[in-house]
Parts: sequence; C-alpha cells; structure tokens
Amino acid sequence: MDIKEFLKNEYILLDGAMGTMLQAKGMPLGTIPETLNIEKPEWIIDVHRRYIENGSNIVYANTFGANRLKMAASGYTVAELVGAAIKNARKAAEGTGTKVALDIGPIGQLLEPTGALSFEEAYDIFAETVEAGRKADLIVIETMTDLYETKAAVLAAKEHSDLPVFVTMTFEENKRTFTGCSVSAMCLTLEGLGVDALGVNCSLGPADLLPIVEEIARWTSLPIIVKPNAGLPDPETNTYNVMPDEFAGICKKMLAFGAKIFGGCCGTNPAYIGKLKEMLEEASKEDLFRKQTPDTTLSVCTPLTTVTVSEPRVIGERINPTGKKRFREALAAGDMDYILGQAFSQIEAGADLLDVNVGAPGIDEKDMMVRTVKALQSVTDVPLQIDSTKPEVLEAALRVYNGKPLVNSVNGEEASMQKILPLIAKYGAAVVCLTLDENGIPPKAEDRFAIAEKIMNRALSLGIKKENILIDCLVLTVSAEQKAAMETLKAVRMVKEKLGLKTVLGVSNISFGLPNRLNINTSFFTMALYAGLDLPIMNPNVSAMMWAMKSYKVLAAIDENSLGFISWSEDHEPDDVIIKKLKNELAISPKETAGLTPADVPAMNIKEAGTHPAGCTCPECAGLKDTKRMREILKAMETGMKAEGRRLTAGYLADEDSMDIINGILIPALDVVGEKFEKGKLFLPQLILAADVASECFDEIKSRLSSSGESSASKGRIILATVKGDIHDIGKNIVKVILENYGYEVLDLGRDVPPERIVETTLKENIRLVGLSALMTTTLGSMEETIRQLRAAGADCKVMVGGAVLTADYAKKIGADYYARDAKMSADIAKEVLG
Amino acid sequence: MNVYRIILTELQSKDALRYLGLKTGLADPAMAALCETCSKALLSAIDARAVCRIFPYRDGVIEGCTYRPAGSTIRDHLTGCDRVILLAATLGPAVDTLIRRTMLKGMAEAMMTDALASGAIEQVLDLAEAEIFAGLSPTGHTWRYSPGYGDLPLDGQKDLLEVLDARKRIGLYVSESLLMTPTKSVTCLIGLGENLPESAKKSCKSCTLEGKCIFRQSGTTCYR
Repeated sequence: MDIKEFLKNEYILLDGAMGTMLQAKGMPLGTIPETLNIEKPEWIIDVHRRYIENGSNIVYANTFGANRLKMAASGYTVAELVGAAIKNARKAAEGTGTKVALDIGPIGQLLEPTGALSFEEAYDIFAETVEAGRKADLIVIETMTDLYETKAAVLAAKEHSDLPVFVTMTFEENKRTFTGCSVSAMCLTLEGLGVDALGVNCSLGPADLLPIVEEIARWTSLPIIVKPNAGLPDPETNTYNVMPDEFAGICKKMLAFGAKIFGGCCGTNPAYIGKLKEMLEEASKEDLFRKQTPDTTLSVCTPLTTVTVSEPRVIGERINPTGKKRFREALAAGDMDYILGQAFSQIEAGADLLDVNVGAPGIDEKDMMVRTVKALQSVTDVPLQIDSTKPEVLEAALRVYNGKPLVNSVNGEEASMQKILPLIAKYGAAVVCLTLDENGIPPKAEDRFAIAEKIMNRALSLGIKKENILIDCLVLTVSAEQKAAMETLKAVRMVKEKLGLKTVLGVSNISFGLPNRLNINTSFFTMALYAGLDLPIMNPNVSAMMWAMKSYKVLAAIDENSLGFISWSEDHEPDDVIIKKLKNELAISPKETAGLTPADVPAMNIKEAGTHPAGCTCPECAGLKDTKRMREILKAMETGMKAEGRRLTAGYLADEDSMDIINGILIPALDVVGEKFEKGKLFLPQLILAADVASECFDEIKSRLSSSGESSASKGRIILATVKGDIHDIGKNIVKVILENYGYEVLDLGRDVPPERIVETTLKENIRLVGLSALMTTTLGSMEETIRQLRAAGADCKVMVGGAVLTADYAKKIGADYYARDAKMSADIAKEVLG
Repeated sequence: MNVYRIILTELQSKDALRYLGLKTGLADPAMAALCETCSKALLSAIDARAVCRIFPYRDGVIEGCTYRPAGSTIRDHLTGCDRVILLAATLGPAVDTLIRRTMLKGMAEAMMTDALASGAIEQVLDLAEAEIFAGLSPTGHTWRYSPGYGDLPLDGQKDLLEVLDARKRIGLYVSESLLMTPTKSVTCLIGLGENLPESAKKSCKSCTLEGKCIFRQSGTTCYR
C-alpha cells in the first residue's frame, strides 16, 4: 500500500525520538548520530523495532542531519550514511507493513538574506540527500524554522524524486518560528508547493501545541501532522516532564481540529507511541476523527505577513519601467537602492501588495527579476505580484519567492495558458487572468466573461484552486471608447456573481488622453469598487485615490465604525488642505494650481528675496545667492532634514544649472561639515547624517537631469565590495554615500564577494580604484587573496582597504595601496587617485 | 540547560553613543531625534533569547563538555573558578532585517540602529546573567569572556554553539567564516567561584589592543 493510500486511513502513527534512545544505549558525547547507521546498525535497528512493536506505521530513518555540511566531519559520504540508514529501517520493518521515511532536518546554516547560505546552494544540498534516499517510501522534512529553507527542501524533494512529501515546522508559543514565519504562511506556501501532509514538530509539549494545531486547521485542508516533545526538559536533569498517558490524552484533543498523523519528538520513547496507539484505536471506535474546514478566501503571503483579500486591497504599481525614464536608468545601472526606495514609498503610502515588473529593452529580465525579488524580500514583508510576459522570468521568480505570491498574468490565448498555468500549479501561486485572447480584447462584457470562464476551467483542470484564480476584465481608455468603462464594470459584476472569483483592474488607464485625469480616475475607481473590484493596481502615493478607497470602505460598511477612515485622517491631510498650503507657501496664482497634485510641488518656482530685481544675474547676486543657499543647505545637513534638502535643491534647479549647484552649493557645504569633522567638532554619525541629506540633494538633481535627458558627469568610477565570507556592509555603504557625494560613481558589488568577481569587474570596466572592506579577522584572508588576484591579473588599479579589524600595518602587509582609517579618508584617497 | 526569553522595555543609549564615537552624547538635537526614532523601531524588532549551560571547571578543563577553550588568557580569566557558564544570546533576525531596511533610508539611521543594537545585546546579556544568578546560590563570578578576546580562538564558536544546541534552542547559527547569524549575537564564558582574584573584574590589562585602543585614546573605554 503506498503512502497516498495510507493517507486515506483514519490515522497514521509515526515514531518517537531517536537521539535520546541512542544516548540511553550509551552513545558517547559528541558522536554524529548518523554514523551509527554504519558503526552500530544493530542499535538503530533495535530502536526502530521497538517503535514498530508499539504501533508505528512510519519510522523515520536515522538521517536527520545527513547533509553534506553536517556530515563533513563524519568520515562518510551522504550517500553512504543515507543508504545504510534506510537499509537498517527496512530490516527493522521486515514482515510488517511499516513504511520507511527519509528524514530531512535543517542544513545547519542560516539562509540569505540574514545568513550566508544562498537558496540555490541549500536546494543543491537537499537534492543530494534526496537522491541518496530514493529507496525510502516517503520524504519527511522536519524541525524547520525557516520557510525559505523549507521551500528549498520541498522543491528538491519534488524535483529529485516522486515520493510523497510530509513537512513539519517548529513553532514557539507565539505561533511563530524563530525566523518569524507564521502558521498561515507555512500552510499557504507548502500546500501550494504540493506537499501531501503538513504540521508541527518539536520545541513544545502537546499542551502548548494545541493552539498551534488549531491555527493550522484554519489554513490548510491537508492531513495535519503533530509530533510534540514530551513537554519541557528540566534544566538540571534534562528529563522531560510529560508522561505517556498525559501526552496521548492531550493529543486526543487535537483530533477535533483535524489532526490525524501523530508521533513524538524530543524526550519521547516507545511507551509514548504505545499510548498514542491506544488513544487512536479508541478514537476510531468513538468516531472522533474530523476533517477540518479551512477558510478559502484568497490569501497571499511572505513568511511574516499574510494578506487575505477579504476586502479590497491595494497593489502598488510603481515598480515598473513603463513610461518611467528614471526607473529605466536605475534598471540599466543595477541601482537596486532606487527600486527598493520605490517599494518603501508605496508601502508607507498604504500599499498592501507590490507589483514587480523589471522588463525593459537591454535588461536581462530574468536575472534582474531574481535579484529584485531577493532584494525586496531582504527588507520588506509585503507580498509581491510578479509581473512579466515571459514564462522563464515568471518561473525564475516563482522559485526564489519566499512565500505565496500573486502572478500577473495569464490570458485566454492557448499559448499563454499552456505555458503559464502549469507554473502556477507547480509553485502554488495565485494568478491574474486577463480577459483577452488571440482576437484581442473583446468589446462586450459577455465575451470577456466567456474568456474568464474558459481560463478558469482550464486552471481548475490543472488542479489550481478556485480562490487562486483572479480575473482582470481590462480597462480601456474612455477617451477612445466611451462605452468601455461601463462594459468593464459589467464584466466585473458578471465575474463576481457568476464565477465567484476575485477581480483585479489597472485603474489609471481609464483616463489616458483626457485632462484632469485624477478626477476621472477617482470616480471610476469608486464605481469599480462598487461593481466588485477586489485588487486595484494603482499608485498609492496619489492620495486622492487612497482617499477614494478609504471612503468606499466606510460606505460599504467594511470599515467598522469608520475607524480606519478616522485614523487615516489623523495621519493624512486631504488634498484641498495640501494645495492651500502650497498656495500660501509659494504665492502662485490659482490658475497654476488647477489640476495640481502634491506630487507636482517640487517643480514650482520659489521666489528669491533681495535688493536687486528678482532674476538678476549680476556677479554679486550670483555670489550672494550661492552663499545664502549654501548656508540653507548646510543647515539642512546639520539638522538631518532630508526632505528639506531635497525641496531646496529642487528650488535651486529652477534658476541654476546642476553643475553650479553641485560645485557652488553642495560641495562647499560638505566641505564645511568635513572640516568640522576633521577638527573634532563633530563626529562620524553627524558627518553621515549630513551625507544622507546630501544624497537626497544629489538624487533630486539626478532625477531632474534624467527627465531632461542630460546625464551627470562623474569624477571617476570606484568599485566597493565587502570580501568573501563577510556580510557586514554598513561601513562600505557609508563610504559609498561619501564617495557619491563627492562626485564619484560607485560600482557596489555588495557583500560576500568572491575575489574572481572583483577582478573580473575591475578588468572589464577599467576601474582604477578598488575599495575592499572586511569586519572580521577571519575574512582578512579573503582580502589578501583578492589583492593577490588583482595584481596577478595585471589590473591597473589602486586598492584601498578599510574595516574595524584593519590597521595601517596590516594593510601594507597584504599589499594594499591605501588604508582608509575612516569614511572621510576614502574621499581623500579617491581625490588623490582619480582627481 | 536553560533557555530564556528576554524582554527589553527600554534601550539605554550610552553604549551606542560610545560605539559611535559621539563624544558630545545627545546634546545635538538631530542626534537625539535620530536616537529616539531608531530606538523605537529597534525595540519592536527585538525578539531576544538566551541559552546557557553550567559545567564544573577543574584544572583548566570544562568537565563533561565537548567545547575546549584554547589559549592562555581564558585560563587566566578562569583562575580560581570551580564552575563555568557557557552563555549565548541573540536579538533575533528581525533586527538584521531592520538594519538592512534603515540602510535604504539613510546611513546615519543605519549606524545609529546598528550601534543601539550592539548596546542592546549587552543589555540582554546583563538581564540573562541576572536571571541565571537568581537561580544559583550566591557566588563570585568573572566578567563575560568571548571567543576572539585575548588568545581565545574564534574557531571555537562552532563547538561552543553545538554544546548549547543554539541553533535549535534560540535560532543562532555560525557560518563557515565564523560569522554568527543573526548578527547581533554574543557567546561568552563566565567563571563562577569563591574568592576570585582582582582580574575577575573587567579591565584593559588583558586586552590585546592595549596601547592601540581608540577608545582609550579618546579618554574612554569600550565597556561601562
């Protein structure tokens, strides 16, 4: 009988702890348990036998740590250890119907972004173990705390074998794992990846796991696994405090939540399994088994955040190069900070999800998408909508996404459905379906509905769950086809009523070509919400649109007691107040403010007060003006007022060109700050605060230059990198800010960078100054090696080094040209080397 | 083995200001505001945990323990002690995420958050120590001595964390290059015994940077 059949049984009984049993047999301290598979097979077989005698339907082979990292010191290969382990388990199970599971535990290293192990490496390590374990009946992945690592393991299991996969993660009392993964995120992600059963093991005793099992039952329809510890260990004696009777008694309570696969973890022994067996037999007679009924509302997630679409949610649209020159430039330059900045401004403005589209001519979209998804995941928990027309880009993103994403999009064309729906099914995402096909966008709502239905049925036939199918009825511009607005809304209503699916629309398209677009957009948005729009794709920074959303939620009785609206009002001014303030501040005519949005503010003129007529360009005025401006900027720098710095710079751009502003105002201000720092009147944090303000000013100039088609001159290019093995980058990033402020272009290779990559980039880009950073004594070796490789490759460059562990002596010893004692010095070195 | 969940209700900023080299403290209002903002965000991100084990210590050997601290400075440190506490603590991975996020907002904010976090882990260790001592009968004890101090090798970290089962108990890992992750984490040894010598109190005497120390050069110390 195979496992899929097994799962149809009322219950499945797993086994208990192996470690404590081996210790009881006299396993010496410090032994790698998996080696006993080869050195003391009789012990292992005996432990398995005793669990089988007590009723185990599945035994976990002694392979918990059998991966190449943990087994490196064992003297055996993974294949040898896993092979022996499964052989032992099979021997023990001879003549019984008990199945053997390949047991896969955590690798033992923390994954990116906080840890040093990449997702791809983790996958590779798991794949090796899976390949070695093909003779097992199923694969169990257990004691996981990191959803990302778990995903790597599940993908490895499913792509390197056909065996069924069970997964259990380890939660703390707060219903989160150590890395913050929620129960809902585990269920949504793993069920989507197609595991056969899931649940919880270790860390807590059965009583503390009750609420967690209850929570799991809300989020998955899969069979639920529970494998608790025997309570908590006594700090002195290390004995566990829950006895077999009590253990089984509490587990019995979990049946009501739908749990049906039980076992024991740390501190348990065959007696616990025996008691569980008794309990489960009793439960069968008393008909206590239940099937849980989870919520089936569409949810997407990251490990920390689950967004349930039980009311309209905002998808922020700004991470998209279409029509955005500055964004396209950032993509071409690999400026991830810019993209992340766009993410944050949308999140702060209230976006619930973020659309991510990085397709532009000349960009390796697949590479960029993977880097962008990983970068976003490293700083924000907001779930993403992966947006691309290319299946290979979607697939690459779906692999590295940590959680359950939304995908935009598939459409009614046969080729699209064939290429994209299988990816959605495999990776467990939710998908937006566009109501267009080979014939284009049908004008009539009924025809769009028909396409929606067609795609839905195809998706369902592939096993995609209904709640994961969303429909975008497409918004055409009303200036070209006036009836289009009502047709779209009619289609939305039909989809909601007849198919019961969630709907998506890109709401700003409606007004293209008309003046005063915002008015049309907000009205259409409200109409669409009323027609049943669930997920608008919009710019959350446009406050009028967010107000429309908030207002709708009050009127539709979604926002109970208008609490959300009232609290939004406390933090956000309505547009008319903002515009009034602008009028007062800027003293501009009413005509100029018509159709204004706050986003237009930086472009307004700021009047100059003085004794000469306004706009006078005599040398006195020019000099005075710059001095006055320098003092303003200096004040902003010293008080850390970034927004003020940006606003001032925007104003200056109205009547001065960028090089004059940089050389006449910004650099002199920076020099004042720099000098105070060198004289010990202010300290590093204040220097950096000033540099942060300067960055904003420079960024404002850069934005302006890009929109007018000019490019800024740079004084030279410098590579910065934190060397291999080291992931500290605060110091490097501080140096980056300082160097950029002084007009240098920085190629930031990031952290944990192999010497080869530094050499390659130096040669390819003809770089004359390379800056290396390391924080740890253990990574100084990498720094030395990097320098050695640079010299060996004949790179015509100078090397400067910095970092807490470095000294001038050591820098000399490893062959560096300069030692940068602090961030400011790096600018001095750059001046010496590059000018 | 004891595992603790440490709750911090307030961050003290003195350590952070020392790490930043901010000699004027919070006199600058911009710095004070920055400290305030960063402290708030940091406090919500901290999920501090600690794990410890106590072993008998005799003739330079920690008994029944597979971690064997090498070098002479640790032996000096543990002179007169009959027990040793192995302690590891972490602020948790959300702090790393927060620091990465603040780097996008501005490096001054990132520096301040990073320094406050380094101060916070010391606070966590103080609180963990207090809890540990509360569970013991009164005894003398040394200050916290970590791998990397003196000639106590950093490569002992792997064994030290294995002994404490730190991965499983508090989600603390160490990489091949001996970097601990989450990064705001500390491992240390504390000696217990009666009538401990003066060296049991923290001072600059045993530090390898004596004479080259930037803290001492500016008239202060790295410790309180």
